[in-house]
Amino acid sequence: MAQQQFVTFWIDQYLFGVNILNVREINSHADATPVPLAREAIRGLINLRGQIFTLLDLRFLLGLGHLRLTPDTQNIILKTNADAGDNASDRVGFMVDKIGDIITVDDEELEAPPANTGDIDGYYLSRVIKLPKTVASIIDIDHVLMMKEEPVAV
Amino acid sequence: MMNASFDDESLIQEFITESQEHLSDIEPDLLELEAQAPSVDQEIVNKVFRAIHSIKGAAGFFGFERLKNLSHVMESVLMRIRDKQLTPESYIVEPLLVGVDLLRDMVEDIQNSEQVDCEALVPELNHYIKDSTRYQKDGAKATTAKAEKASVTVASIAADAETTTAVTGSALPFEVAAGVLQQYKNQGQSFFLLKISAEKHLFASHRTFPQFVDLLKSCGSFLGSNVTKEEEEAPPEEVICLIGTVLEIDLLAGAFDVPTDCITLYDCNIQANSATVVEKVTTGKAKLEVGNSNTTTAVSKPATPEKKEAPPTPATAGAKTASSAEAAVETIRVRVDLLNKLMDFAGELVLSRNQLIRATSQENAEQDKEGFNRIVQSIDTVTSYLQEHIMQTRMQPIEAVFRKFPRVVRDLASQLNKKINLEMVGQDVELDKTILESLSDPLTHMIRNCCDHGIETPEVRQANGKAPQGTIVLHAYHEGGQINLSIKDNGNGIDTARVGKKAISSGVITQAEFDAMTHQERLNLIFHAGLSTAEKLSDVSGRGVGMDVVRSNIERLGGHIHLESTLGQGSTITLQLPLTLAIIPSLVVGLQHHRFAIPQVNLLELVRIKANEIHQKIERCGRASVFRLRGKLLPLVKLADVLQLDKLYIDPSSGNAKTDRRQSIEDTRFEDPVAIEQIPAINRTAPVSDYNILVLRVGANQYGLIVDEVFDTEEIVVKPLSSYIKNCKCFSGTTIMGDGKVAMICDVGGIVTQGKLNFGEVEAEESRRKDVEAKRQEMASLSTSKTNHGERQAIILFSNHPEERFALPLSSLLRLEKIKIKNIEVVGSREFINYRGESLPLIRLEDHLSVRPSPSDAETAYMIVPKHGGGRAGIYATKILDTIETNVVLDSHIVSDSQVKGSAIIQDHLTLFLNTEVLLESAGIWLEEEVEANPESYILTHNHHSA
Repeated sequence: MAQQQFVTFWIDQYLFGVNILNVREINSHADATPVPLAREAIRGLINLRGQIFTLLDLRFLLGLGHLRLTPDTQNIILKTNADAGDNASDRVGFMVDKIGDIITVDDEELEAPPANTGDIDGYYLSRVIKLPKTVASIIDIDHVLMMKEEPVAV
Repeated sequence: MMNASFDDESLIQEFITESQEHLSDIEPDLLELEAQAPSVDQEIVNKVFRAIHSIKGAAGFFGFERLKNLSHVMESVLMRIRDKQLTPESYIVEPLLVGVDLLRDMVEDIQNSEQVDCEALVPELNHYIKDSTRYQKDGAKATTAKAEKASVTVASIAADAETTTAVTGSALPFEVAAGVLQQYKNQGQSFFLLKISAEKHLFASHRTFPQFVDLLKSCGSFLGSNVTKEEEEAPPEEVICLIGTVLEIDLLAGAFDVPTDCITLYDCNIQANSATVVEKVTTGKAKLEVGNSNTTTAVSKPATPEKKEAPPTPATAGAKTASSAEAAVETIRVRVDLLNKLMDFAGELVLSRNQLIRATSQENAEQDKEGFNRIVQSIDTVTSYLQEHIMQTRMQPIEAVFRKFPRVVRDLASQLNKKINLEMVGQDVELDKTILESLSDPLTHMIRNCCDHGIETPEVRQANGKAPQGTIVLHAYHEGGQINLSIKDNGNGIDTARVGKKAISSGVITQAEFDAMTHQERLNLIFHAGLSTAEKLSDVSGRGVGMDVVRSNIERLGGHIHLESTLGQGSTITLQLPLTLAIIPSLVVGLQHHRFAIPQVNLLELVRIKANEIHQKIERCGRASVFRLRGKLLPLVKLADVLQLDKLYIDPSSGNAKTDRRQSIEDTRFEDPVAIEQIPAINRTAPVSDYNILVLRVGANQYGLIVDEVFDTEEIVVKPLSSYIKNCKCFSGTTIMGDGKVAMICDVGGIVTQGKLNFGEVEAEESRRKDVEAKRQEMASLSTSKTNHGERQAIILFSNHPEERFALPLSSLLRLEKIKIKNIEVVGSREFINYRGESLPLIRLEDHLSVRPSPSDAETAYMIVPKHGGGRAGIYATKILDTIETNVVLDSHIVSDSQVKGSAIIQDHLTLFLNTEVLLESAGIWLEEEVEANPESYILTHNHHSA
């Protein structure tokens, strides 16, 4: 039975997950350099061992308002195609309120997200997993990365 | 090449790189050949021939059919040139050049090379091959169809070598079907004759003849042998085999484990009917050691004949798709000595690091500061060396770009019926690879412009007394840490009148604007988008999207473009380019808590306006704030406004950041005028409230960028902009500062766009002001006496009673002294002052003019000693207000005293201009002859009509 592993994290009171294969690393690099005129969902740029990463405010993307820095705030740095090629301009990560556990799930346990996702913008969800106490929504990384395609609202 | 497996895409990649190199070498050589025709430099022909041959060989090896076929016919044409059966005239070089282009297209997109259309070209080239009795032959297919058996005779010519010594040929001792040969030949295979000794080469290596044949088959096609079926087990001592393959002799020798001199190249020229094969024998390139047999036997195995004969097998097709993803990987060639140096530096860096670790781990690190400094120093040195040398690896000679221009010029010249000679100087000047690549298009465009617009037709040139052949000089050279590139032609130059007419008719400028322009400004019109001066559109240029793109491209590279042109004599375009883009010097500025880097190349100067002078120095012009910098209006923009950051200012009294409510720069922070009075004086003079203006250059325009703080200049490493923020036009990249934080690099041009700076508006205002100034001067000069033609004068302003102002021209003063009232002595009604041991009469204006007296409570005052009277009298002044330079138009109606020349409004106050001559006279000071001696001391302008 095929299994997948997910890194879970909290945003607001919701639990989310992202496939562990999409994660390059998790860190708590707090002082991102904000970029004036950039889209609101772009939190800023950080320097990670000489490479510059763009940090997205996933909370804002999901429609839950702007993220507030707390001691628990962490960055999930994604693995993207940029790592393969030399197209270094696409290195990206996003900020979350708190990191959760890593969960291993059988493929069958993955369900399609419900039509009404409440406060959360369903566009960024790909699957949901029912856990004993709660539900973890799996983030659709492609959709998160795609947000760059939308025009900048100035 | 054979060390890896056949379908390894890295091999294909290598093939592409090599072929591209070959192709770029071929082009200039072909042009050279054309120029030399009808005489032919064998050296060059051979060079071209070899290049094409290796492309053909490799293409055949990888199964790129079209590529191979095209290079094959081209090779054949070249062979005929080499054999002096053809001369490389234009009509022959032309299709060859087209062929080179096609080959390049194919190589660049190797996976789709089969789709490239060379249907027209191949027959044309074939025509030159067939066009000779010796090479007469029918179509290959017909021959194959007939599949006639034909006896083969062998003749010999040296192939693929400079030595053309003929080796005696001998007939093949067996028969080969000419059709078969033709078929293999069409596949681009070469034929080799192996003469081996059965004893030495077969039995000594423990192989039988059939095994050997299998080996042969693995590397190509086995075509025949003198060994008959019956003799296979016991072959004769001398075994002769004919094989067809695309491999080279060296490889074959290795693969077959035989000495290279056993293998000879056959060139079979099949004649359909006589069916003879001409043998070409080469002495073989003695490059490879013959003895390395132990390593080479295994090498040949991947080259199975099936793959070669049926090229697009699934295996290779798969390899192709896989390799297309990797096609983007670029390679660069680096000199080995440079690489060694880098290695040395890396080693040194490691040593320094070790020292550093030891130094920091030592407990007495505190005491050993000396040693610590030494390590830091060495790391500093090594880092700069490393930076410098690594930069060099990215540097490439500009020749890479220049190389294609002879062809471009040649093609254009023939297309436009012009005679153009291209001279190139400084091909070895090196530039960063990235710059070089983005330089190619703009340069091509400008070269085309030169050919199309610049150089005239031979008839026109001769009519104008010039040589029929025009010249374009392309010159690259270093200057001041930058690369200068000039493109100079001796053509017609730019007709500014025509450019202007076009610009006016297309609404870019108005006639009045054009009239006011300098020659340079008129020339620069060609950089305007949408302006083409070509009378007709041509293939070459004339669509008006050109020079503006060129300029923006160059400026994106951080370069500048400058144009000079003299009508009838030619034009010169000069490009100034930075050496590299990867590490640039830049100025780090602070804005609130952000830091930004501004590339130093755009920075002209820094200006600081003191907080208390802001309102005097910054003016408004339309929507823009402007600053008068040495007489030029400089539009100002606040970086915070452009970036839409909340306006903050540092309150000097508290040190806290507060939101700035001001709408524009020259406004005060307080809307209520009463409040201004209540601001503590410190606010207007505190350094934090000063304005830091960076004077930046964008092309020909300048503007001032206001930032909060100016830090240091630093060499910053440019990192590309994340694609998520590409839309912000204000930034060109990112960088990492010394503290590890990320900072944005400002795009000086983008700020203009984002800040909606309108240079036109400012320019218009500037010219309006100039006009006003000119008119004022005109009026002034009309009303001026003959000795003074309305020049600007320096005048001194002073007052006695605070509300009355007087003025004297500075040039009429001898001295200005501060005096103490108590030193004034009174004799009767006259006052004297002790001055340098003399008693100087003091004139109080109120005694001679109907003006109010000076206040009497002062302790000190000033004494103005005019030149009149030779410094024998002083004029009493309570206060010296200012010295200014201005044009004065005097009105003599208002004050009728003869001691006053006239009055004028200076700094919004009525000011009386004194006539020192009359004043001194009326004061009883004898003037003697000085009046005549100093005619120019009647300085002030005044109206004569009432005097």
